[in-house]
Amino acid sequence: MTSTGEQRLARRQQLQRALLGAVGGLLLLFLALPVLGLVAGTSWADFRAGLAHPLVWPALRLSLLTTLVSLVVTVALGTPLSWTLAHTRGRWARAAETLVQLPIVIPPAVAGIAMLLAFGRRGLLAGWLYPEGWSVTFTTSAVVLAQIFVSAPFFVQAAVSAFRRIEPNLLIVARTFGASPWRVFLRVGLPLAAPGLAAGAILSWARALGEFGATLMFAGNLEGRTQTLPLAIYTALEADLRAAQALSIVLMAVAVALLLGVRAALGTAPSRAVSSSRAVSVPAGGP
Amino acid sequence: MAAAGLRARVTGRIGGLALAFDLEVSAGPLAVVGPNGAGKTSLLLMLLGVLRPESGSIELGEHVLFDPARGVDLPVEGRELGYVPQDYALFPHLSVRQNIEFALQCRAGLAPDEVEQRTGQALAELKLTALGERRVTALSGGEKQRVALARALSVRPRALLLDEPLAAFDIAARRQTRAFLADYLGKLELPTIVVTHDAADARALGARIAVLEAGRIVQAGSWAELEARPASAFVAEFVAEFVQA
Amino acid sequence: MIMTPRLSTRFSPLRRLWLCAALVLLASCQQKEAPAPTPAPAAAPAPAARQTLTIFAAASLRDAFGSLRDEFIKTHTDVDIAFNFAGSQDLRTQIEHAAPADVFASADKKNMNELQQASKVGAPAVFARNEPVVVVAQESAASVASFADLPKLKRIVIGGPDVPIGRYTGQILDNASKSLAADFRQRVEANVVSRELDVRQVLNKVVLGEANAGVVYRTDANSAKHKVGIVTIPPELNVIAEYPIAIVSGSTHAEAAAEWVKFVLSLAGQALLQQAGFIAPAGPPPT
Repeated sequence: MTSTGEQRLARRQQLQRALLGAVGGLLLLFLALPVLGLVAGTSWADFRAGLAHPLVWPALRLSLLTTLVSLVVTVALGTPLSWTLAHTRGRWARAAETLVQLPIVIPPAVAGIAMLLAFGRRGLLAGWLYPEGWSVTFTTSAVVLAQIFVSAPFFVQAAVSAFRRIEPNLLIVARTFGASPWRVFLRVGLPLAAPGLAAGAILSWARALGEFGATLMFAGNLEGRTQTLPLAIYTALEADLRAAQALSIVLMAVAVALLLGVRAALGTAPSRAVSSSRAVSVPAGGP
Repeated sequence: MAAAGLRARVTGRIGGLALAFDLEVSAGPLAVVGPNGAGKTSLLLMLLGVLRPESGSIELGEHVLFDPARGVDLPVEGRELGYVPQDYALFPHLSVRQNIEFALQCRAGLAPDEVEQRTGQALAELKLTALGERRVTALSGGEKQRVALARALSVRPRALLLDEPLAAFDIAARRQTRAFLADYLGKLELPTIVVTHDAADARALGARIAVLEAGRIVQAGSWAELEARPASAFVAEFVAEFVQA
Repeated sequence: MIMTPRLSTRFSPLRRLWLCAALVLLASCQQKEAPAPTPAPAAAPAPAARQTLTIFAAASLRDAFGSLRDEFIKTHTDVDIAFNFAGSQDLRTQIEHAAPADVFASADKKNMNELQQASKVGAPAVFARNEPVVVVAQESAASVASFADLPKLKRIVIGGPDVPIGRYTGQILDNASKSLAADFRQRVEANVVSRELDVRQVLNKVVLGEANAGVVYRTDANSAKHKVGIVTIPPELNVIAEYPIAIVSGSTHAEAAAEWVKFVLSLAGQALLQQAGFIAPAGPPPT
């Protein structure tokens, strides 16, 4: 190999890397510009005025409270579901997986209407679930329900993926020792999938924090009871764009702080190896 | 008293491959060899209970593990077979000691101090006591293998299945580990099956050898028998391989 | 590694890629600035004389303007009309940010005046008036004989404080507190479960039976006549909404816009508006 050949190869590799970087950088720029626009377009005075806006603190408190509850419910119910889906073959399991992903593609406002039709006063369950005339709509619980509906799919998707990545041999040997399904799940599955589950939980929580359309439709918009921060921002928009800008920055700041905090708490470990080395692929078999 | 033998007579279909085995393991380990895709790993998975044969029976001494005619199909958890997969399947989030403790804790009715005692025993037997607190990800290939063996044997299985135990070793380490393994398995007195594609491994580890081709056992016997009267072209080539190694 | 001489020719794969990227960038730079996104479906600009008139109108004008359009295009065959219906305050914000509207019809004078002061619209003319009414869900219709019964209902939905209908509702409640009972407004507000962001959402909640009552315009109530009960607000308490219309400054279809405004103010247009339940712009409010 001649040295000019080597030089050409090196240059070609450099150009390819630059191209990849440029293409990726384009998307990064696109995502960053509106955020920069929001921050740059809001003066410090406007921001302080926004912080003092009467809508802010009730809305922030409500957002944090409801998203926390939503997250706990999502993880508590979603983890066993994901484990089951990850290990069940057959068309019912695949259908269930598709069902779980549906809320992602439904426009949030439509999701809100759908929830009204299911859980509303005249909805599917009205006769059985509620005392006469009452329904869950317009309550803080409705906010939590709307958040779970739109955000749980993100968690389940990530969790199923994380559980599937566990080397099957690890689960097989655990069973050969006589481990019950519960023990396999708790002592092998959960610890090994934990980073993936955590990532899914963060994603799900972020989606719940930003949830607007379904909340507005299903839970309504009442300060202190159902007006989450995104709803407060939109309501502020009616009156005063700059107040809405300031509130948006508050929401972003809270989200960033929580995201960074969670990552720090979990440790930014790259996905740990789920087995000590690559396994021979086990042939899929059985009914 | 020597452990009771493992007898498996099953047919099944995995992917597009039709499988039919009839094998018996009692005195001395059985090496199962064959080309890729012959069904060697499927055989192990059927014995373990991960894959279900279509018909036949699997018996271990007087325990029936599988026999649809008699309505028996023990789940994986109930067969009490030891399994050492090719990648050893050590739990990466646990230390060496914790890996073995895990296996023992899965057995119902073992008191904590008995668990501790048997863990110590298992570690000592395979000279792993010094490595007890080590993370399994920080072990060498040979050490990992010994941990996997210790773990599998700590719960006193009725038989032992090993899948390509030496595949991860380089030539030098391979020879050394092969000698260790041959010696250790020989002393175990447990029905043992070793799946391997390597002729030298089969010759050293297996008291008898079963050759699997396209889902069927084409020949079973000692190395000498295979050498003298190879039943197929593959067997002949396989035996010849050893001379070159 | 075999180094082929191809790398040094002018059309290596990598260089081709760069050329394509450069051409794409050049082409996109030369394109005219794309218009700001609006929620309304805009017909593609057609060749020759055909033009699309973009009308931003308050949500309560949806049905009436729809009928007006059907009439208008009979006599103006070269004009397509694209509507953007939303809360007047939202539309005002969009126009402030140079949304490509040609005409703006607001549900109150406040939003229009603000735009006029900022020179974003031409001189406005009031083209219709609308009477707020109370709509009551079918389940609750029996318990409401008159407006004075409103505080009895448990789940009331009204417009947000910066939505025109919400502002009118506030004024009506204040009037009621002065005339009917000092705590009228307080009692009603204690039962408010949501402050919606446009009048149609208020109506929807009542139609769906989620809310027992809401305050909307007569025109909205008429559109849902058979699904809800309508309770008239006593004229001495009521605040009649005045709807101004104006041409947006800088509209590129000023002539067609003027035609539309003329039609709206014409006898034919007024007849259609009154059919939908609007009141004539001048003259005494209904008794």
